[in-house]
Amino acid sequence: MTTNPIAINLRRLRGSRGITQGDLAKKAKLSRIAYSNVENGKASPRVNNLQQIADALDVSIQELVTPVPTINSLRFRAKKMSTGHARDSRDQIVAEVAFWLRDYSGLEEKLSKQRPNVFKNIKANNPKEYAAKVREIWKLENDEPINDICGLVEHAGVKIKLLKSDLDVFFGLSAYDQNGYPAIVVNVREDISVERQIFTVAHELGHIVMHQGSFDGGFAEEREKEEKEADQFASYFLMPQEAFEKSWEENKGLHWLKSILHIKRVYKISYRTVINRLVEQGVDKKIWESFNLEYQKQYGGNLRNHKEPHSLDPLDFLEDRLSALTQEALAKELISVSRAAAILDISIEEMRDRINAWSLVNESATV
Amino acid sequence: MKAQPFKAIVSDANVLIDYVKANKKILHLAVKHLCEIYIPVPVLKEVKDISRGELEKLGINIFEPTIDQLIQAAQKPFGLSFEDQLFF
Repeated sequence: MTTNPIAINLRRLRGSRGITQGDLAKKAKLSRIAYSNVENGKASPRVNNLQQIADALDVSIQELVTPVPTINSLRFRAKKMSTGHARDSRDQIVAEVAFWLRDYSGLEEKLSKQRPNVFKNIKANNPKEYAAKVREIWKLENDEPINDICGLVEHAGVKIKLLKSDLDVFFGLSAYDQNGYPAIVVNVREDISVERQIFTVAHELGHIVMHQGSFDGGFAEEREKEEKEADQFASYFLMPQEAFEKSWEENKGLHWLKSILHIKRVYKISYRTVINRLVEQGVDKKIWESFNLEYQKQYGGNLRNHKEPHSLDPLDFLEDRLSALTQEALAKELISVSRAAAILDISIEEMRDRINAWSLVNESATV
Repeated sequence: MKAQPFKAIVSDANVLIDYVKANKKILHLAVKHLCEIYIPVPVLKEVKDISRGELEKLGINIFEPTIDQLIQAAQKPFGLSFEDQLFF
């Protein structure tokens, strides 16, 4: 197995795009053999050839020559990877996360902004109790909806990355950086509802709180028991039982369908989470079918393909701590403008626009 | 003995963007009256509003760093980007 970073990066990037060596060689205007020799680490490429390959993959040449940092503690949430393309896509996600985590931790260190891991010593008997304890640490009232889960979790020192991946079995992962601080990554692909993205943050938080021993850096398939526990944690963290009962009681006058939709909007969760809770309370499982039929009758659309009715907007789910740290590091001249752009994974021109936007707001604020 | 002309490398894309946004012809005047100017390809790749051909017409030399330079730049200290590191 080669240890040449160029070969490793090429293999992963090409595989994650699902293209053959021949296709990529053609796009890069190289012979298949010449390309194959580079990807197999048998030949050192000329820089102009490497640039052509980078252009064909639509990445910077830096991405081809930089070794991916190691993540020691990782929990990847996805079903079984049955194809090479899926495995390469997973490795590509891990590579992106590794660079992001290294940069984020580096910024925190430079700015002395590391936050203590408050989840280390929580002890409870079941997911519901764990959820209650975390809410207690954050001083959340029992019936208080979580309006900004990213802000809340970031404030507690958990790094959050919103990442778009076409890997259809991937929804999120959790990891620890080299200093032992937790991080959560969420797939924000357009066809995944914001409610599901929010649930994923809570689910991964559940793993961080309850399953610290199972972050081994491997890619074990989802462990069913732990996944169920994390789902339960997420459900009760986002909507504690008392809150659910209170809301259900308050909505007594509404049609049950409207009550489910109302509660899901209040707690920023999926209608599925509300129905699951009702089933847990002893409501007949036929409610799933009834909900679909009744929804169709009242609103005229069906809920196939994980469609979320009356769903939230992406603006309901934003993270901003990395951007704030970058802004501060730039203001203190700890990083260059192009380094800031690299940290935020945007072009230099976009970075300049962002700096102008920051100045505009800051200047207006001081007027 | 004829003096060697001064040479300058634009290693920060921001500098190039500033000149391009202000007036591209300044670059030509700088080449004509001040020094030879060199821009590495990775820096050029970061600037959208000017092409390699246009820069060459203005008298600027575009060059490719070596693989070794690229690999060394990838081992950067925290505060600088890959492009910043290329020639430092």
